[in-house]
Parts: sequence; C-alpha cells; structure tokens
Amino acid sequence: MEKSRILVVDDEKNVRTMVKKVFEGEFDVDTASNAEEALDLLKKNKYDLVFLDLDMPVVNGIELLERMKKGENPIPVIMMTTYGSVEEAVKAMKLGAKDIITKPFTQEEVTKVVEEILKEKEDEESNIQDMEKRIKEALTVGDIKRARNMVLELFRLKPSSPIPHFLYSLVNEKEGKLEEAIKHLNASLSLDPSYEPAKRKLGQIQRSSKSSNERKERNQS
Amino acid sequence: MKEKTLYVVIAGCGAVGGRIAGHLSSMGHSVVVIDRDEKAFNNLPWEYSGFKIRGDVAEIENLKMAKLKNADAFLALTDDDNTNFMVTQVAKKIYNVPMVLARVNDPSNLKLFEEAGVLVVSPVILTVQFILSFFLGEDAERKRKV
Repeated sequence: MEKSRILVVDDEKNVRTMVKKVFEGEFDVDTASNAEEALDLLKKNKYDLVFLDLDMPVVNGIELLERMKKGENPIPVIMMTTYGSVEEAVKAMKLGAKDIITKPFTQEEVTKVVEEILKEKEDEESNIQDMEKRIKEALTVGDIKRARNMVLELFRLKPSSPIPHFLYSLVNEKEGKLEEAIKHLNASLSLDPSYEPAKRKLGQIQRSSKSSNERKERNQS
Repeated sequence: MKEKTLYVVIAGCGAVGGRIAGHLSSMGHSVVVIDRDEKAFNNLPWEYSGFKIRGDVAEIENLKMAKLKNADAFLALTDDDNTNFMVTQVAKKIYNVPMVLARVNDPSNLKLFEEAGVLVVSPVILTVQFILSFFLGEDAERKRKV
C-alpha cells in the first residue's frame, strides 16, 4: 500500500526536523521553510496532510492557507500556532483548517492529531465508495430518480471531488442525455485529470457517438 | 513496544542547557528550551528537534507558553541561582512537575535547594570531585598516568 505523504511548512528548522522525525518511516515526509517552497512542492506532489506554521515571516500561514484553498483538491491542514495567537487560529479554522496544534507539542500529541485526521479521511473515502456502489446499483435496476438524489448528496459532501461529476454522467447517459454526460465527464477531469473512470467513460461515449454518426451517414447515402 | 518519550522543559540555553537539550531531543524526547537571549540558541546542535521560546524564564507567561503543566521534567540550568531557585519552586509547587532539577552555581546555595526538594547539580563540586579523584582512592595512581 502506498504511504501517505505529509508536508511540513515552518520557518523554524527544529520544528520541521521534529515533525519529520516523528512521522518518517510510517509516512513520506517533505519539508518547506517558506510559502514559496511549499507551493512549489504542492504543485509537484500529492499530499494527504499539511502541517502549516501560522507565524511565518513574509507570507504567513493564513495567507498560504488561503492560496492553498484556491487549489482544486483541498488537502487537510493542521495549523501550528504559538500560545496566545487565538484570533489568527480562529481565522485559520474559518478558512478550513482541520485542526490546530499549539507549540510546543509532544510527539504523542502530534501523532494523535494526525491519526484522527487520517481516520476521518479514511472513513469519508469508505463512505464515498459505499455511496458510489449504491448509485451504480440504483442505475442497474433503473431507479434513476434515487441514483440522481444520491449523486446530488455526494456533490454536497465532496464538491471538489471528480467522483460526483462522473456518477452524474452515468445518470445522464442512462437518460440518453449524452451531451450532458460529456459535460460532466469533462468537469470531472478538470477536477482531476488523472481520474481513470471518467477518462474511460468519455472515450467510450465518444467512440459510440462516432460510430453512431457513421452509421447514420451510411444509411443516408 | 515503543518507549514512552518524556516532555522536558529546560530553562537556560547556555553551553550546558544547549547540549542537554540536543542530547535529549536526539534520544527522542520532546524538548522545550527557554532563554531570553536569541543568540543563546546557537548553543543548540544543528540537529536539535525541539522547541525554542525566547523570553525571560522568570516570567510566568513564558512558563505557561512552554506548557510546564504537562512536563515530565524541568531543568533549571541558567547561570543565576536566584532565578533557578524561583523557577524550580514554580515548577514544583504550582505545576507539580514530577522531576525538578537545578544547576546550583554557588555551592553555598546547595542546602537551600535540597531542602526545597529539588535535585541539584553543582558544577563547582563536580569539578572539585573530578580533580580530587586523581589524588584519592585506589585507582588514583593509574588515573594520573593516563
């Protein structure tokens, strides 16, 4: 199984070293000493979790969090703050930080926070897989209305995931709305260009639509 | 089974505090070092992986910031006995830290610290004992030849 990947962003080397020491081995851990380095790494790699220092010079943790949240796939972020920075911490939570940990923290504290977040993520993924299965079953038995309602619920839960768009394309396909289906498959791929089910389905629809057009042309001639 | 790591707060990041902090963090313990002089943190080894708090250890806010209430051990290693005595008492009596140790610079203060229930280390006494060990005991002669 592929290891989860963590990014630690802090201008203090000792903090980066500490968090890296706690998690390396179990996870792949990268570190960045400023926002620029962090954004560069975030472009290159896919992370499961980011530790972000609130009080970095030049571009602080809040600004970096704002920039990260503009990205297509939000990553769970744990803000690292110092004692007394309550207002900033509240702002970070409003911006979607998953948790806040006050420096100095122990290895046990930081491990517990990470375990909780990864568990939550795992539960969420398993819940999505379960919904995906139920949607496909509803489509198989022709219960389009139920399938559509479940997809809409999934949109609400995971708006930035490619999965709801993909599943909605299946509903559209079942209803014969191929143009709509293609639109949703493209939306799915714009959220995650590497999402294989959407790629395959788009190829399949395009091929079948092409052969259907060719048949029509032959019949007309 | 993974051994339990300790949470250690150190007051004073001089030559002694910095080295102790470095060793403890490389042993896997969670370490916080407090010093009012930013330059003192240069005494920490490059690979130090604990926390640093810049501030006067005599101010309670800095002890709160270090989460002294969670500490398994508190080491008062500044070069000022008055400060060391005051902060060890805060650690023992307010925060109930299980292990409290102080560096006692003036040996005449040793009794005061010991009576207050603090573990002590005296650089003067240790130096004297080390030098005298070359002259006293069964292996003194062998030691002098090394």
